[in-house]
Amino acid sequence: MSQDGTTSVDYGHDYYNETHLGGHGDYSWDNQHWRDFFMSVADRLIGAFAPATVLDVGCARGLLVQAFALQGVDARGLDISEHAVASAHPDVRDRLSVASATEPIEGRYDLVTCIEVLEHMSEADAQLAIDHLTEVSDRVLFSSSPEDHDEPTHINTNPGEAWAAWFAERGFFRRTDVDVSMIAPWAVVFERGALTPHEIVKRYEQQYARVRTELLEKRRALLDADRAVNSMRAQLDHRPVDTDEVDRLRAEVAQHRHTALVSRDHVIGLEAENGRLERDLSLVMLELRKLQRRVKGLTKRRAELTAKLQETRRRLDRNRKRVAQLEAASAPPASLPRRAARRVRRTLA
Amino acid sequence: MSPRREAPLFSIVTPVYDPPIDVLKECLESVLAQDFSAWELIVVDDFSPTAAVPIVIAQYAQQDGRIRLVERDTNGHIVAASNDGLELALGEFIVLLDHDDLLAPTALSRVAEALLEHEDVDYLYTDEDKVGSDGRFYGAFHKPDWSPERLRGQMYTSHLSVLRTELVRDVGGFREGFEGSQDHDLVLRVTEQARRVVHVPEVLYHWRAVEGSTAVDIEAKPYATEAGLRAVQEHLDRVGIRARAVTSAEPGRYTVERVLDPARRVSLVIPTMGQSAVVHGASRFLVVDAVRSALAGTDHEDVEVVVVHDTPTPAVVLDALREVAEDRLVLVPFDAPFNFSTKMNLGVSHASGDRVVFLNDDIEVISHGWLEQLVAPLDEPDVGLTGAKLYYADQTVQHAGHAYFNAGYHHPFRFRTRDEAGPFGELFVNREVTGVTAACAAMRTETYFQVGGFTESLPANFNDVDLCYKVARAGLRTLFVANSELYHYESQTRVPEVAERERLAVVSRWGTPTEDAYLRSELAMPNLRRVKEIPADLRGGA
Repeated sequence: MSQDGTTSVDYGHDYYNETHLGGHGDYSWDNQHWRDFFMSVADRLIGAFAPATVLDVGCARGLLVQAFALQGVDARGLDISEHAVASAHPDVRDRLSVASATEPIEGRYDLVTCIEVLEHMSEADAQLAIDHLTEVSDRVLFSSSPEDHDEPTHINTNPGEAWAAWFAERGFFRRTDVDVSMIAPWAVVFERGALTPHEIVKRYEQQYARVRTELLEKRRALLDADRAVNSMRAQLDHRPVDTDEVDRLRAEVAQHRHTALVSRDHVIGLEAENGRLERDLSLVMLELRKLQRRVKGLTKRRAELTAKLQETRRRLDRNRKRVAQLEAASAPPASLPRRAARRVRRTLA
Repeated sequence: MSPRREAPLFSIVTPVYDPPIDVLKECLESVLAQDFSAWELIVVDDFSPTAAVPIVIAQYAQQDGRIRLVERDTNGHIVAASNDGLELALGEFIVLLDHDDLLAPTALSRVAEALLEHEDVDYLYTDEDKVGSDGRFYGAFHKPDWSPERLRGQMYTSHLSVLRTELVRDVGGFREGFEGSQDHDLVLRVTEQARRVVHVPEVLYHWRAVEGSTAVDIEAKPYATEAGLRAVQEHLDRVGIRARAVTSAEPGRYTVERVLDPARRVSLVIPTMGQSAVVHGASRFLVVDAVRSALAGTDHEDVEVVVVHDTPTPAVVLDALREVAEDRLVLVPFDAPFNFSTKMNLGVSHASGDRVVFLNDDIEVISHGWLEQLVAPLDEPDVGLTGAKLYYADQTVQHAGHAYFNAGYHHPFRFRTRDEAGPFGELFVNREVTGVTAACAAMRTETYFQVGGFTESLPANFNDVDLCYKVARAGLRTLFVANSELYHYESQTRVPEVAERERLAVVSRWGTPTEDAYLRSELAMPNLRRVKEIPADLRGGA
């Protein structure tokens, strides 16, 4: 193992639980996110290849191994990290061993998986590892990130075509009919085969044609969408503006606002004036009612007094008549008192 | 009619600290002399050094069970002593009485009557005067009706103050640290919550003018002003007015410097004929300098200038306006016979701002930030109209708010000089007024349309009076803004001719004014007039 590679000490507790692996926290079988992920990876691979034996190279805490084992596959794992293997779930611990892929691997497997491992090794070690993987199986699920260059242990990132070419040197070719991008966009299944150039070209052309068709269709759709956006934008920017019309409408709006103001003022003014007049009217009505009562009282009093006056007049007339009668009667020569009364009346008349 | 409610019980709270004994006796006697009996008097002796003080109070308490003496073991100053009194109060209302002042004999009965008129009165204040050492009353302060803006500028409600006990307790009573302005602080906090505030316009309290008491001179207690500033600032912060309280020209007066929201679009609306005139000895086109100074005197950015100009306006004036106001200028031509109201209505109809400022073309801005101070109070939803403080070219006051009384529409304090404060700070504090002149005033555009703008049936005079009536009728307050100052070269434009027809038109709408709600005629008078010629009968000699 070369000095350029990473070693077991680079993969302690913090590597698994803190900074790396997507930040889903605790990287263990007890973490539902990881458990679900590896169960579905195992499902997918069992569905595609029905392997009886599997070796996971760079198995860490053996989550994928455990997922396979749960479904009856005789799975094994090896990892350089003593910490990882030691902290694996008890159900899977016996299936794991501490070992480096730079050393020859024993046994024979229907499937070897090697997920996000080789980018952590030096270039030379990685080539050794590919040798050893391809020696123990005809089929390798391989995934190695071409990205995340800021992760300190990614010391050997390579584009997908580099890995594919290296596998091809060993007689392994991509299964273009199997899509394992659920593991990672760059995950690939390599399989040993004595393919003729004819077959290889056909396989890749098939893929290439599909992708190119899709690309062309999307380009065309993008172009159409872009044209539609531009034409709408142009309509917004360059819609012919009739300045005269705008000015006319502005003037009209101002005129209507002005009319509204005048009407509003009239209404408010009339209401205020009306309110005051109504109040005055109420006050006048009160006064009128009061005066009317007074007139009624006075009228009644006048009627009473008139009646009394008439009665007095009647009595006066009656008395006058009586006096006249008495005076007219051939009265005996007036007595002394009568004469005296007459004199008094004469003087008073 | 609702069933007659019982008169409330008043708890008079009087903190006492070492007053002259005869003065204290007069104070207590003035309570006993009330023509109303439902009161209790809680006298808190704040550990007076003179032993006679608690003894005298105890004697009164023995004679009348309604009087209670609370003796403090330490001198806690007025806040602690007053709070001790508040704690014991059983009455529905707290009445504050200082240990050397006098209640008028009818004080409590008049207050009780006023309280019976409404169920929701939480704070009531009355007019007051001073009592000298000779026992004479003088210096009556006839106060304005409830004026929240004025209370920010001065503790104008002062004595007699009657507060609902429950609310005083809810707001936490008097606050330590506000000694000297503890009443102002309490009343600000109470009125923030009060459902109704009532003013009884009668002198029911006599404030004793003794050397060293605030009645004579607030400068005797400099800490009072500092505490007052803090009380006002905290109030502004509590009610969410973005402003700073600063000291004003007189002790006990505060200037509220508001911040205008930069998002407000303000439209200045200026009617003009483009006249030129001689101002300060130099000829100028009035409207150009009006606009120039208006824009230079503000830091507000979103300002539009709508100039409504008569068609004969010289082109050179319009060109100068374009140069001064650039793309902020909106020109509205006008070719009908003179009608101020129509010109303003047209101008506002063309304005795009959410605030409009009416500006005569014969003004010139004095104070920087005039626009911010004038416009910002309109963010309070119940403020409908604000008006600036205007001066003639000789720096005498042209306008400091209108007052309508004695069948007339008046400009109180006209011809006073710029440094005069008015009898009770009227010229220096922002305050509620019945009306303001349209020469420089501001409204929300929305309110302008709501009340119908200027009435076009009044082309020359009183159109602003009519507008003020309409604003008041809409239930909105009108503010005089003392810290928005401008020149108004009034006489230089139209010859002021007061048309009787126009006066009658206002009266037919709004009636004859009798007494002003915010500036009583006693304080507004006398109306000064410019003396043009000394009448023959006043000339000296023969």
